[in-house]
Amino acid sequence: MTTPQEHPFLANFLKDLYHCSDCGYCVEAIWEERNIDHVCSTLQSHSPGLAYSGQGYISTARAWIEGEDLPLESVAEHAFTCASCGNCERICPIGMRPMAINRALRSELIARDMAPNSIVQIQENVINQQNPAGKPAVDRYNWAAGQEALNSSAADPTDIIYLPGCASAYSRPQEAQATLRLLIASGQSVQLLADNDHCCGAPLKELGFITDAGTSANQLSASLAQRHYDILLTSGCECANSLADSANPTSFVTWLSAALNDKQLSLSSKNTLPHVACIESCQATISSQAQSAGDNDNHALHQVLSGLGVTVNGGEPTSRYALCCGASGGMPSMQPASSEEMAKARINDAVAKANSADHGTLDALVSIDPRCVAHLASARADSDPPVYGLAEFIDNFFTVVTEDV
Amino acid sequence: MNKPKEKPGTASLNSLDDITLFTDPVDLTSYRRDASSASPGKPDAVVRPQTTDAVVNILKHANKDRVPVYARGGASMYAGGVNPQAGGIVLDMAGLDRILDIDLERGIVLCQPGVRFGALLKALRPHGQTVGLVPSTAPSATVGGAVSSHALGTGSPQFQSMGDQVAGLEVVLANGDRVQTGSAAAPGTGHFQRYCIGPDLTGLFIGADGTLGVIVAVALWLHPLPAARQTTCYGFPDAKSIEKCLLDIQARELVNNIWYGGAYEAPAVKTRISQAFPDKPLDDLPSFALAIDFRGEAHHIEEDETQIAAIVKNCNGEHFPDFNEAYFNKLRTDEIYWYSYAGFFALSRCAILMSSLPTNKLSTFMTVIAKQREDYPEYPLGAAIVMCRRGLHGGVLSFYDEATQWQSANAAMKQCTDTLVKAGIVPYKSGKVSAEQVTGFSAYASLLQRLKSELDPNGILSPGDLGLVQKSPYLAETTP
Repeated sequence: MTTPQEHPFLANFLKDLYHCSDCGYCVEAIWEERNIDHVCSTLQSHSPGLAYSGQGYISTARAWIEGEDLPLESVAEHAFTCASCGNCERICPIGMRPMAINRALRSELIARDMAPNSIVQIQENVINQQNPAGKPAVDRYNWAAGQEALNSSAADPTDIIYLPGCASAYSRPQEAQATLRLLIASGQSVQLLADNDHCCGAPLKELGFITDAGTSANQLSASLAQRHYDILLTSGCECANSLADSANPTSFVTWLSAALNDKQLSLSSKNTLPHVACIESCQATISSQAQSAGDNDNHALHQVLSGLGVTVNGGEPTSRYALCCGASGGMPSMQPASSEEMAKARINDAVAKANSADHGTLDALVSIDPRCVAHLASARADSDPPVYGLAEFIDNFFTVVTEDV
Repeated sequence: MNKPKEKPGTASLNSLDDITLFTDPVDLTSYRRDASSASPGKPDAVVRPQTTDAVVNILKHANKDRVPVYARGGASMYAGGVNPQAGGIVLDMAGLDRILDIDLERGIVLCQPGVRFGALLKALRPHGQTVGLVPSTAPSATVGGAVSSHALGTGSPQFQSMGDQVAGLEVVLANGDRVQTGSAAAPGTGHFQRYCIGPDLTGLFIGADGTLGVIVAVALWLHPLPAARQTTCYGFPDAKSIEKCLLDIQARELVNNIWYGGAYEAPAVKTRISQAFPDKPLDDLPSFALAIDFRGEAHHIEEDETQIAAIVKNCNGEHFPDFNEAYFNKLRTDEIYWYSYAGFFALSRCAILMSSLPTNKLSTFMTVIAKQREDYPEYPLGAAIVMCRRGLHGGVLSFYDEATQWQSANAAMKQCTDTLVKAGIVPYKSGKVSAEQVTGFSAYASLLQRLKSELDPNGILSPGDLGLVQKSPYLAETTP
């Protein structure tokens, strides 16, 4: 048995490691009443080996703390591959935390300099360039060039601070631009953090770089503390999770839903509306603390689109579970081919469901999470429907109605 | 004794088609055990076949080199049957997960062993069909695993046992021979009748924990989805009263519309009521509760419920709606697969003994449980009693801290098993948990051993299960 000195991160999870009842729900569960087709996208698209499952991370962690001589390179390969979608935790009937255990495994490996190079690169990218992809920090707000919100004074109060998140800022700038346009069109005052903005630390926390994640989060918190605002609005689901405890952020879809309900914003369709399928974000389900299917942003996306008269294939999401599209966790950097397979699987699933439905039409895919949107867009075939972030979708298919004065 | 080759057979597996092979130590850590408290094992390799031919080839290789093979499904069982205590190969059957045929005219679904019950139920629903027995871990449990380990499940009042739901099997023997049982033994006929041609060879492989062959296809009887459903709970003052009630229900065959019938003793009743109704006094609660989940035509349910209510009254029982509201209504929306699932009782791993008992031994069973509680107060003990068409399943659930109490808790449970056997209550699932008790049933064990010697002369299939003698040279070298 280990000591807190030997395994300081895993030592926090002894209860879980010795209470797991091996029911196997975190490996695979098909549960119609809960609308669960599969639990682990890594097992589905990367490898069926159980060591990549929640149960596998528990087994590996337990073997390690019991003194087994495991090859740490292999432990690292398994631990950092996990997409961190959290389905294994949500489905556990006795409240075990396999995803958190895997995060602790990652931290133990990091403490022994056993993180794979591609993972260390992400750490260095966030530290040096304030984003996990390593894009130049100075380019973070290129998407907002010329926008008044970029030049706001920190001393001025504002209705909204908009944090696009790294994925929007760099990989899906059209989502950030569309979001800003809609915020401004609603009549709200909007500020951007500009040079004071950077990664919230979520990717580092997810990968087990706890100290560095805390440093990033604190830097962002310090920037926010300088501002006077009513709403902190973010596009990234992961950012929302990361900031939830310190800054109480509002997601774009939540804001949009309220703005439409309160008539702050009125939209009218430009042309015939497309039939869409929603690609649910696993990170949005992680943010949900409640137990029902209707309490997360994936559900809110469906409500907003339906409310706008858009036909959404598949109907209302009834599950608290979403399979990762391959954009999350260590998957993209550790297993790029499998990551792409996971994206294709999500797209193919949406297309297949549309084909099996009566109308058989699918014109577009929509997601609330810019990281998913960027990843799905890069993996889609030419024959697949285009992928949009919510704000982009609104921007493309609706116009803002302004009242005549 | 000749020293065996280094990890015999596992290296040559690389050359086989349609398999995924794992030999990395990290990969192997996840295949050491099931949900039981039986000792885990350490496999040398895990092989995941994608076709039945691959299963044949794996077994031929393993048999040639005398490498142990432990077939594994969802591994949510409580008997340790899949724990590779002799090392060798874990045969991960979960990749064989296709439903091969839904034959509504014959009333049979034919599926590969890796099909999860959740997938099966989902596929059958559009046809208005279901299967009789559904294990408590249905979302993850596989059909092959459930048949091989003779799983318990909801459905036993109507359909008795998992084995009774099997119309026929296809099995690969240790030497790689493929055999179909029941009517399908006749070429070109398929599965439509289990008891025909000769003796029931299907039954040889049900509950055999993979010791006699590896199941590669299962034919299950179909049943129409029930039109109506209703749960009713009753309270009883003591074990004798509920025992008499269950005997009467079974004797009058008022079980045709009961999908689940479970008896709950005082601690479980108190826990559920106090959680749901914190202000309710607990002093005058019944000592036992009986929960009955009716499924069938509404008018049949109404008729049966009326008769059962009269029996309950005659046995000093009464309606206990609070228990229904406190417990069963909460489970309704998610289905009730896990009525008997131990994890939901105590949020913990536990040692579980599943036994079969005649209904008139229910009070005897409870007496053994009471004594066990007295002798081992350090291990909180739960009892789960599930009604069958005839007889009962009795579960003993002992909760322990796996980090510090595993060995002593197992020793305590062994004593409990011995006591139950002496009282005329037999192990329902043997695997490794009750292997020792099986060897004590000498004539039965002897016949089983002779069958084993004939079907698996090298002893490669699931060594250590059912108390069968281990004789492989490889095992002699690798077993501590």
